[in-house]
Amino acid sequence: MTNSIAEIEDSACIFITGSNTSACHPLIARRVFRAKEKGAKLIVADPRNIQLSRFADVAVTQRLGSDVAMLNGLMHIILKNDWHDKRYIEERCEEFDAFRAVVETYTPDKVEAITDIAQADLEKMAELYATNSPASILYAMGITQHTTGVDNVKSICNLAMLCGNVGVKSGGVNPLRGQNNVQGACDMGGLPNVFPAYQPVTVEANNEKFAKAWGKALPGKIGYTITDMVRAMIDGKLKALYVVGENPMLSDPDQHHLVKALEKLDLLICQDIFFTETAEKADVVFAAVSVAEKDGTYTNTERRCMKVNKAIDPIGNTLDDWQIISKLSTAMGYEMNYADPEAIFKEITTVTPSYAGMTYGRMGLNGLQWPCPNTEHPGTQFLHAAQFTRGKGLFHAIEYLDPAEMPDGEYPYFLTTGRMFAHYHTGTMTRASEHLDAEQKTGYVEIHPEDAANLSVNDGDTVKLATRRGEIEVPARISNKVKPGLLFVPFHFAENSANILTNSAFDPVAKIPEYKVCAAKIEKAA
Amino acid sequence: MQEQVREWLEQGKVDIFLGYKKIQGHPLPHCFTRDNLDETDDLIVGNARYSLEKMATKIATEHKELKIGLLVRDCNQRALNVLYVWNQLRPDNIETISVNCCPSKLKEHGDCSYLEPEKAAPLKMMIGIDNNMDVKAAEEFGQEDRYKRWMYELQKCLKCYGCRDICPVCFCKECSLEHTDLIATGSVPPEVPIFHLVRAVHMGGRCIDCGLCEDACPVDIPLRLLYRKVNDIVSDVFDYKTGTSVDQSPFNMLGEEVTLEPKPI
Repeated sequence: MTNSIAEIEDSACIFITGSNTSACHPLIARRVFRAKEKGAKLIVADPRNIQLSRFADVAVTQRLGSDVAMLNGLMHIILKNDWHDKRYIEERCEEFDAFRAVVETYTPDKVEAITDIAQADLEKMAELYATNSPASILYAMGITQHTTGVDNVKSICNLAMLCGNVGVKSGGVNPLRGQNNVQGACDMGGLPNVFPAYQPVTVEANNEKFAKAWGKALPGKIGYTITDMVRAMIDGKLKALYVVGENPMLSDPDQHHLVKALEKLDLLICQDIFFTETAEKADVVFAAVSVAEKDGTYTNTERRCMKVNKAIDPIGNTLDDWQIISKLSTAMGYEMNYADPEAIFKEITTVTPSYAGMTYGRMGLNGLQWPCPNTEHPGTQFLHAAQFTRGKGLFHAIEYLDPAEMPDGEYPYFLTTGRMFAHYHTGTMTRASEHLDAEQKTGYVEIHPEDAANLSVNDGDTVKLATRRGEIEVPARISNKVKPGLLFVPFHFAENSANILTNSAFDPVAKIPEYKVCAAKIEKAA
Repeated sequence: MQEQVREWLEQGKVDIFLGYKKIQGHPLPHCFTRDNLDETDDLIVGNARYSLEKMATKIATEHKELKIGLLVRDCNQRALNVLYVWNQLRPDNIETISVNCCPSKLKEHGDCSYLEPEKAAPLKMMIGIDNNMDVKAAEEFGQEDRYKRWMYELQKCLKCYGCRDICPVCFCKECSLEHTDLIATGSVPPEVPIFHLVRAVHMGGRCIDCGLCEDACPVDIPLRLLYRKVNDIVSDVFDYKTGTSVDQSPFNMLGEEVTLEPKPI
């Protein structure tokens, strides 16, 4: 997030797209409700009718995967009405003209044809976003998990810059991160192309810096993304996989393909707090401790690094993640000796400029938000206040592209996948909870009442849902949350795994798979 | 106070004592024991409120004979009375030290709506319910308006169960809120208004108006007002003032056995 969670309360307008915030980020939804009650305008654009749609000043259900067209359409209207922030664009941005030329071709007619959003609604959305300042944009996987994921995000940035909403309090571009520490994992270089703090591995100076810090020569080239890894496993180029705190058996797209890849490995190591579906396939399983049993830090969606304190001693024969990694590394010939998590944190601050000013002592109750470059720095509530990281904000001219797979005669439905409120990701933790299990015991497919009637499917009937990748049997949930022609399956449930169905087509830049769109057919199970 | 607790533990007047201790800067509920007597020096009253009596109830179900001491403010004492009435705690096994009710301005991490009610935001005043309203004022809305306002509030529900989980007098082994024949599971908001009405009905003769539910509610639903109304009815019909005494409740008197036949609507 460029901005902070608490600031959302003071936004004049909140535009939520591709985030079912009240189901998946409930405490951020709290801020949205409070902002609304203080007088903020609320815009919700989601292919499904979500809880927050009920509270929106304008809520639309755009056609799956049509986000670039929707966003270009909004910017078209803003430019036509002269609502854009000319001074901000002039002083802080560049490449505006090329961008404008493309956006001007996205007339409301054209956009309605692509997105199914009525022109009057599009006008209203544009007016609300452009004329209520500061305006904040919240988005999540509904924007990123597309073959055009990067285009979608760039379009959101275009919109925010167009109205001067980046670098201001209660504005910003705010991707809501799905895990408590996924921001921290990325900050630490848990990506194939960067060292900690996003220092590219391809820059020689960075390589030297880290080689010196770690006392070991480094490869200096970009590694595999998860998407690349699966292909490399199939091709026999990748022979060992070490999976930590992740359950790709359920969370990766096109499960049948993934299983083939995993079976080709010489060695699969799995490290988790519970025995996951992926662990079942592993050669070696390391049992790790849970959150209650360890010290350390988490960095959350608003870049806030916070101390986590051990509440109980580890149960059973388990070790802290850092201990397992240290032992494994030492056994493999690179000695890692840390006294405790704080020693690791101290090392982090020496090589990660955005964390340089953080210490355990300074964390207090609220933690610190990066960038925090020195020990006097109070941390940063929102980014890009004076200028963008790269200097000027770059407008991108982006054309709409169809998703990789569109419905056709054989597979006539749009299928999208995601989360529901009671469970978290692959259910490794939440399905082990009695109360959450009681809330939702197995998967389901949301289907519109008209489609259900056409198929003679009643609520709760088992249906057979198939795509070009595979098929599952799953109970139908008849719901107005989806439009006719659209199906939704949550991916938490192994027994009717949504990712048997999903398409592994991916974004060419970020390599993120298109979990959110594919073509499906559905019939009543015999 | 610290000395008294130490004495109680030493002399065996209580086996454990529930109070507060500052842990990593947070004033948190803490169980003081005879094995760690010196820890009683760290006992504080603190400004945060937790339902120490709920913790006592949980402990007592597993350790029936344990003598439990705890710090009580007025709301804790009312809750204890209800728990005695409902046989969840035995008064003989409970020792209390009374402390001032919310003695000072609250700190950042222990907000108590009871002490410093937040002024309701403009839209909430316009289309919802101001949490600071009293029952009488809330009933002055016309019926249709009132219904819409409550529905607005209840539709915000994220089904976090915070209201139930924090409630000092929620102790049922089987919770009606999780009964799938009463309330459908699997979506947010939960079925409105039934989810909250089921809970409200169960608060009759139980709710001691501590306000912890409202403190816990992430979306500011005026739960306390709703339960106050329910208890007003209990007071009118049964002349029973919940939590003020350990007299038997009209809701736990055994009557004659009846079979519940569905009645024509």
